[in-house]
Amino acid sequence: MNDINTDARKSGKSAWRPDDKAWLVARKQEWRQVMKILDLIHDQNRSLPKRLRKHHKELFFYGTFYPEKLDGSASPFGFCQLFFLMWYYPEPSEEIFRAFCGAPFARYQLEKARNMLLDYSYLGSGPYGFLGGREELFVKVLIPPLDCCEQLVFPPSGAVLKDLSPWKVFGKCVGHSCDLLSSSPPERRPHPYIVGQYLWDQMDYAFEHYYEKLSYMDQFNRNSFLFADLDREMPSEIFYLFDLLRLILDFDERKDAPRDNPVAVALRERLLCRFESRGFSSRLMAVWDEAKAHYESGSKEPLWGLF
Amino acid sequence: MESTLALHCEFASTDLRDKVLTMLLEETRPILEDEVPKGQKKIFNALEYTEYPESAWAHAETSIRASFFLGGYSADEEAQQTVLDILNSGAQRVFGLLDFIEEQHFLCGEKGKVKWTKHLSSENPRHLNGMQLDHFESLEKVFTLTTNASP
Repeated sequence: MNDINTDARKSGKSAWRPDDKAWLVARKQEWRQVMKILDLIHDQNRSLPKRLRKHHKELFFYGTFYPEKLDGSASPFGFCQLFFLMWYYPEPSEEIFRAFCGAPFARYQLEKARNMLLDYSYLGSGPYGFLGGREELFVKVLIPPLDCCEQLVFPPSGAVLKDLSPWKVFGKCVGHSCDLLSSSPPERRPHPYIVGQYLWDQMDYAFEHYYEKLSYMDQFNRNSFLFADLDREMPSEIFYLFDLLRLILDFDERKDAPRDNPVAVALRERLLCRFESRGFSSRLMAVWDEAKAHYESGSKEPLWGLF
Repeated sequence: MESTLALHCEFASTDLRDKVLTMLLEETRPILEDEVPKGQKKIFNALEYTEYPESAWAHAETSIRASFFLGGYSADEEAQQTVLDILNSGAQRVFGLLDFIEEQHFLCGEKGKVKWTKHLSSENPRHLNGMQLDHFESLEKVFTLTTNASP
């Protein structure tokens, strides 16, 4: 058993303060939310045995860090300690997250942490979301706006985060943003911190530089039943983008727009301002111009809309 | 894949039954040991990581009935561990019925051990009347059929 902040605890500067009653009460409330998310992850991914949850509890409440393998077979953290350490750290900051990413134990866990963030983010619900509002910070550290051929190196261990598919960035960004801005009853809305909304810089870059790669992926879709009757020159993913842009453009007048959802309103405002100030790359702006011209022509349906 | 575990747990006294029921339920189970009332540490330690039941209630004078929703292919292990946890909390006997991979399994826990019986379709109370029965009706029937047999 190790303690990740032995020195800090000795000097009274530990982020974990189990002796502080108020801190412990707040932590217990968050633990109930954490348990619910762990259950949802467990339903999707059996590599987190429920019986080893005591190790999660000890990390969450006391900062006690167990080795990844306990008995040669089971791993309480599904071989992704980094992800849970970032999630459970009581005082999250970019600086501390970068330090964790550069720790020797994190060397082989960076990609897994990123995939857990992207693949399971939709699981959260209610005001806690998936990681209690830490999602944007996770994106900042684990999914920086890099070229997908670049590698991100975290000192001091030199742990390397390899490329992320432009296809995945595009899909998560457009999909999650659509979910936020489209109409759905409050109980079916995505949680307020769904990660796709924080990926616009990354998506813009991927769209500008890897349009051909997205087009290549589209060859598979062209042969699929869904898109077989669509005669067009554009990749099918752009059709979803047109839908999203329409959701931004007609947000104020659409009857079923989620104007009562402050997160959707803020996202729409942010995106509208950025598009209007031409704050994206040329290819994305060209799609915006086309979608806007179509909207201003008075058409009631989005251009090439699929929804 | 979804599995349901229905349990009938017997205790030596109403007082112990009530304490265990409190520790079993999500709303009343303490999160950390600092909230555990004096004299109940053993019960808490036994049930600290037990799955929260979908529902649990006091039954008769000294029994608890509870149903659990266990997902996944490890539901049999989860069921066995749940029965062991409740035995460790102080139950004298625990009878259970697990619906797992379209089969029904009967569990009986006593003195720290769990025995399993897989029901053949002719014996399966779920099919006795050619209709779906509530799990506790099934458990009741199995309990009646096997209660005299030593577990």
